[in-house]
Amino acid sequence: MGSPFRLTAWLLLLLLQNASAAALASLDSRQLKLLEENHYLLQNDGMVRHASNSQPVRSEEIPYLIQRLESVQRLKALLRLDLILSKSRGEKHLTDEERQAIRAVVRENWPILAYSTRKKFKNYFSPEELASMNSDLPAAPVSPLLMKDPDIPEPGAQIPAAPQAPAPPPAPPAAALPLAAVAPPLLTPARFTIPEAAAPIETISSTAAAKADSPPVIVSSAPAAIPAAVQTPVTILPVTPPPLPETAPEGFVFGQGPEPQAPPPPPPPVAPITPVETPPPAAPAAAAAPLEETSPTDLEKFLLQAPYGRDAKAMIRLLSRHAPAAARTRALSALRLLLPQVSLDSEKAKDALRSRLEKPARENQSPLIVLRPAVVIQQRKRLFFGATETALPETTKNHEVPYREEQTRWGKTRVFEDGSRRVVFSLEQQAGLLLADLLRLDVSLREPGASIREVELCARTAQMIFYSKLEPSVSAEQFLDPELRHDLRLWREHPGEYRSYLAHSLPAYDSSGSSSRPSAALAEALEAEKQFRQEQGNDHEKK
Amino acid sequence: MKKNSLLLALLLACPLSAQEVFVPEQSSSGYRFYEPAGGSFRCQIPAAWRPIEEESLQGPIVHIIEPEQAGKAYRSGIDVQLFEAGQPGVVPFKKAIDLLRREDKAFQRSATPVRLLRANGLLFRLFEVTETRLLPAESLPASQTPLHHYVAVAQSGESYFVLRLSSLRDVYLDYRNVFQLFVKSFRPLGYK
Repeated sequence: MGSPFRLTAWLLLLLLQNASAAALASLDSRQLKLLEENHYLLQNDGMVRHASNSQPVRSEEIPYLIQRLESVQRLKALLRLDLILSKSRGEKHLTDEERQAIRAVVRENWPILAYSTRKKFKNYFSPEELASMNSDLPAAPVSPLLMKDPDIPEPGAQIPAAPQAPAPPPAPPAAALPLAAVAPPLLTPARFTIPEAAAPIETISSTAAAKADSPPVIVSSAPAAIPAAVQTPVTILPVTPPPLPETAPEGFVFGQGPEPQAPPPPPPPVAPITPVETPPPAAPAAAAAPLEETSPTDLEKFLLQAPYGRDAKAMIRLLSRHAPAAARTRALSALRLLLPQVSLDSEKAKDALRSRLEKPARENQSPLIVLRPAVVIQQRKRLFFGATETALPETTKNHEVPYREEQTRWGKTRVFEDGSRRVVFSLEQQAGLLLADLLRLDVSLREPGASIREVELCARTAQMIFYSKLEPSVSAEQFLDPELRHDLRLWREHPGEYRSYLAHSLPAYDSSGSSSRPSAALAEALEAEKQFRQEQGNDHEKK
Repeated sequence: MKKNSLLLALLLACPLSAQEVFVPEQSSSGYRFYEPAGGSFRCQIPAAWRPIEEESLQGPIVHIIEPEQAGKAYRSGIDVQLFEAGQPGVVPFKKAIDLLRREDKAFQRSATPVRLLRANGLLFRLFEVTETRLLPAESLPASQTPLHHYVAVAQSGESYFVLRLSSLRDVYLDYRNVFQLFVKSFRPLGYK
């Protein structure tokens, strides 16, 4: 009779510990530091309590505790700012020391300040500093406008079969309670995440508690390890659970269960399901492969099986239709032979303005092409009129619902409550960037001795021809961002100035390649340009 | 007779609209003589600057760029392009000057009036162009950065040369002497 009581108590204790550990695991380092600064102690059983109070904080109250502590810290920061400003001669007459003190307080409390306060003090920082500080802002709910449905595989696509998980062990005898089989469904509700480093739960035999001469020892699971990103030096007090009483409470009797048996072994961990990845061919083999035309039928067959998303496939189809012939052959050849990863991700793009190409470092590694989907445009008004624009990387944490859309020289621009403006690059523009990166990849593999100048001219010439051919069929008035549109106009109408701009603005443009022969790819690109201009000239004469 | 003497007196009294400049035979300190492989011209360039020769559909282009400096998004340099008569896309001389001096409000592009300079038997049309571009061109953060171009156009037979020294507007005065020496030492070869 007593064993169910003990079992229930033990289960509740475990549930509480895991829930508390899960709540702590969701906190970031800043919030854990906030707890420590306010004299809250983290115990090794995952419970939180104040230094002056032995009563632990319940797991469901931890978020409210954090909210209250942040509110107090915010108030303190505002009071400090008010003190500095009231002692000064006015915000327009601040001394250097006062300005630096304000900057220090604002920078220290940037993530918890209200939007209006951040807006008021953002002029104390440069755009680069603001970009760095905004990267630490807490995550906001993902905007519904930016949510995307998962890619549905094309009909007839061969979905790689996942490796079969090892068969679970046979069910243990009914005498010993297999907690490992019971606990997980109870301890992993949808809103909690159990850290992966949790130690396996040991089983307890109910008959062990039947021995009256020695109190049973509850083997509690080791506290869930806090993920590495959350680990901060905090004070941990060792806590041992209280032993059970030797005599059963009133109304309960220590029962006698079946004969003690060896606890069943814990089930082996389930192997994670990983997608089957076809290893890319080695680079020397790709470089030696001859260039072959890819027919539209072959391209569609390739796209059915290729591990690319819907947007990437749309871009590949676009460049297949509108790219110049020689560039199309090279680009699709590089795509089929090397199978580069194509990703539309602002974080992976790092500091690239539009696209980033990562060539394989090892033989069996596939190249990576990252296309930036959007960029933040910040405007700073000048003294009398006009504004200076700065393009900054987009932070995924600040996805909110835009409160209005406006038309700027960048096209449709979404304005958010924090004052930032986000411009989304069009699919057509990104298709041109993908074409250029595929050509860079192809030329660097087939002609490793080509200079940077030759590679860039080859890639950009094809990109400009692609945009020119695509322009009549695109419904949007401006499918290119203003700078790229200006480059296209320069290339078309003032090619000498375009070449000069490349020479001055691209790094290492003057570095010479290791090959003494001129690049065949560049010769093809210049021939395609000549043919294109002749066609344009003929069309102009006809008009 | 009186009319001829009066006319002669008037001509002598009028100041020259273009100044004649003579170029020394030896290169200045810190400069060197440069002649591209095609042998189309000869000039003096800063010794550390590196020339890049290219072929375009309209004719040869030479870029003479300063060494790369860390943190500098736009390298200063001189561009020389020969527009050969009869090549596709080559417009007449006067129209070329108008196109080079075109305005563009979206990029704050504007040009100064044209002034004349005569050197080595050539008559140069000189003007300056300013514009704003987003720099660095391929990385973030990028901000609108004003650029400055010293431009000189000289007709040589049926063809014409466009000489341009581009730099960031913040430092364009540092390259004024470089451009002046370059233009004054510029001598086309085989295009008289």
